[in-house]
Amino acid sequence: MRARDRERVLSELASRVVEETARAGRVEEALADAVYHEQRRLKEDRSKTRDDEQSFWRDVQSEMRRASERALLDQLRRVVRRYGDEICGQFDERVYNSVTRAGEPLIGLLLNAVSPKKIFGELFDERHLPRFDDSVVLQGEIPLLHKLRERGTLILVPTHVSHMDSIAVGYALWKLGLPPFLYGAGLNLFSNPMLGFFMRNLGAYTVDRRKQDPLYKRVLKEYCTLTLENGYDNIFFPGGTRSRAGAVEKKLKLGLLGCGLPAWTHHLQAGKRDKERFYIVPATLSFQLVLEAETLIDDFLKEQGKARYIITDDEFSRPKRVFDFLTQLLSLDSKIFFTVGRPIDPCGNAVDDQGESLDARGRRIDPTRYLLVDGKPTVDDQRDAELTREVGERLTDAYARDTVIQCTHLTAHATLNLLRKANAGIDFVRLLRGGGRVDDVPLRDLHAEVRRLLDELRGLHSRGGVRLGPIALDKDAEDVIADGLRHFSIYHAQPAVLRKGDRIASGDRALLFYYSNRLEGYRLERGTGLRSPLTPDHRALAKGA
Amino acid sequence: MTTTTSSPKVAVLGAGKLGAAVTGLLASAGARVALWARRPEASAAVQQTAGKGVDVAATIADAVRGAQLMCFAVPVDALREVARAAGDVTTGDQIALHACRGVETGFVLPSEVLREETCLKQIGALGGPLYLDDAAHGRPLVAAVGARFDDVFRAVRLLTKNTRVRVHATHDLVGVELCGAISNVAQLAAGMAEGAGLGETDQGTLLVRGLAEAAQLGAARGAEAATFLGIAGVGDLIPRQVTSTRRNRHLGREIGQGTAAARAMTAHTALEGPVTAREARTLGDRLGLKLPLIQAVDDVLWRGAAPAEALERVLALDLSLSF
Repeated sequence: MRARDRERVLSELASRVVEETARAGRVEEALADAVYHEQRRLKEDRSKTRDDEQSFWRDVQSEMRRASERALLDQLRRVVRRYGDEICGQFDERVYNSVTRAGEPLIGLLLNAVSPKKIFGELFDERHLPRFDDSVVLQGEIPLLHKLRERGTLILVPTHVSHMDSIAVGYALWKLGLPPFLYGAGLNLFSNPMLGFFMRNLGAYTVDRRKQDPLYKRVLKEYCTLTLENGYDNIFFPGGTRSRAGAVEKKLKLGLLGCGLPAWTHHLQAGKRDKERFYIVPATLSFQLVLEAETLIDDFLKEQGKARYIITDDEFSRPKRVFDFLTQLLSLDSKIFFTVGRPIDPCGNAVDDQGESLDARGRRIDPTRYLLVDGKPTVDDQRDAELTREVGERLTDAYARDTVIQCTHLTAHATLNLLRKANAGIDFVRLLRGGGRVDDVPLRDLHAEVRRLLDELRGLHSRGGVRLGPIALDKDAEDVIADGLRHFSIYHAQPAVLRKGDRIASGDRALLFYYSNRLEGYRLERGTGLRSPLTPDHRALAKGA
Repeated sequence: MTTTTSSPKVAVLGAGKLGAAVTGLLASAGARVALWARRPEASAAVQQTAGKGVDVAATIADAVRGAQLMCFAVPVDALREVARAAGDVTTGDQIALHACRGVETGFVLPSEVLREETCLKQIGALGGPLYLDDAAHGRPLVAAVGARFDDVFRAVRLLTKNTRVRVHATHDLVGVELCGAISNVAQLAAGMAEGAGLGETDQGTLLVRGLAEAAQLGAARGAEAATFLGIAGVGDLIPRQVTSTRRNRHLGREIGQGTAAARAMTAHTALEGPVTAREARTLGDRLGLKLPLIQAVDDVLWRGAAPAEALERVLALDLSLSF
């Protein structure tokens, strides 16, 4: 957030939240909750700021004992302000300008920022920087994205598989000539001082997922609403957390997605006419390989859906690994697809090429009507939650349509299908742990299975139900498998799929499962007797899988 | 939304028994009702009975424009056409109610038809006993309203504030629609049983089976089990004479007594039960659900099965209800 807006937004934030709490007669309760939740969290906290935080909350607690109405309001304002400051952080326009002007080395810089040592050793030495130029493919509704940006404020909602997503999205936006969007990033990503510095200055604000205090969540939501009202485009990762199973998200955590509705209502109440609209833009990211695949699938299998919400010790925290991942991936001429989907309005309606909302039959409608109560624009939490639920449904449809299926996904899915058939009757989890009668399958069976999947997927693709990478689109099964194997061989410790003469095996079946899951949800196994190993929301293993 | 006069404008689309009752009820509660019916003489007759506060609208658009709430009082097979015409003028702040108790071909629910044909999102399904004769005798009219948006409940309560309508609200829109649709199928079965000379226990068993099968379809379509135990489900079964399902029961009775199903259905057009039975069976087959009652009704109506044998097979099954 720009310096000139910061103070205004934070003070508006404080007055809104404090007034709302006071109106509900919940000032004391909200403070007591905050003190309780924060002190409890701090007991487990090992960070450097712990002492400072503990003394802050002790002070709030002792001030509360005075308990005059006024004193309580002051304390509430103080707490809200503290949360607001933490979320918003500091943004330096000069850094932002220099980084965005730096152009192509931006990503290298960002990656190097993961490792302070690297930045001194190899700063701007482009030979060492992974080049995204030929690798990131931008496709989909890009002209519309530019057009809608002139009419209103954008909420970009990409799929979330890897921490590389934020870097790829950042790159894509830069490449499209758009300024950085604001986005919430987990506090753990700021712990590296260099990376945190750049993230902060490229629009990231802080989300501390460890904070359970309802007041904190309220402040976070109001902060997002206010940034939107002030015309800042935002990025929300609606899964909230990276997909553990590697599947396309089916049930979204909507969280901050609903902020567009109150922001829009406030614009209407204020009579704002210029750029008063908001647009939700789905986007998908597709990598052939996923940096943290091993950690994510391991977490999925360990917890079976009750995933740890925050993983702090994964591949992303190891700079060398990130660097190697990208250089190796890009050396294979691998494509990373950033696909912009068809935008919708915050009420869940489609919009036309002029940004006007449409009903299901394509007639233009006035979407602001949904925000009226008794003829006046009014914020209504129940209504907004329901409209946002619809937005979530539209987004999951868009994700399924705009996911780009690549060779690693196809090769893994076909291999897993064959292993499952060859080991019929074996418990699925046992199979993933390396059990079963059969370890490998004939290569020619894999050819046939990939061919079958390609037939299904190409049919679906022609009906607009999915997107395919260049090889999957019009090359032979043999080419798909060769490309898949090539990718699997370069990065992971044990390849998900490997060739042994004329047979195909898996070096790591959990990984195999992870990459295979990208094809879940398309009903590709109809009539084969194989049931999906995942629940319909793709967040857990299906019963009896 | 109209703010020029203090009394809200309500559109009633359809002047059948339900449309007439709703018109009379709301007009007596002080609303301005714009009534449209396919046959103008039908609206004129209702207007004459209801009296003050009722305008006959020449077109659907005239009725709907500026209305705070619109009530689709047409059977499900007419809903799409009426909704499409309304959709030319509807706005996002308007509220829609429907009283359909059936589905379209493809198992499309009435609320889904409204979503496909209009920009309306605040949609409520009327269900439960909705026993219009009670209202005619000055007794309370009891209805379930299923809607996802609280605004629908607020609007219905406000409009019926001075009437003896008792509204039971639930967010389970799909559940209310399924209760109504499948209860028609169950009433067909009970009617067939009655016509074929089976006793009241058997008729009751068939009705309960119908509810259990509705709940199974409900689970597949995201409805809540509790809805089937509430006023829209059990609450609709217990009153013996349920207006909206009486005609389906009557059709069932004729078939049970030996009239060929095809001939009986030709004589009772615009009934929602038969198509619903057929579509529910198709959906159940696709989803792998066990729906023996729905299947039996479909067999009798559309596949020439003999009613007594088909129902006996259902009655012989162990009715262990599991929701």
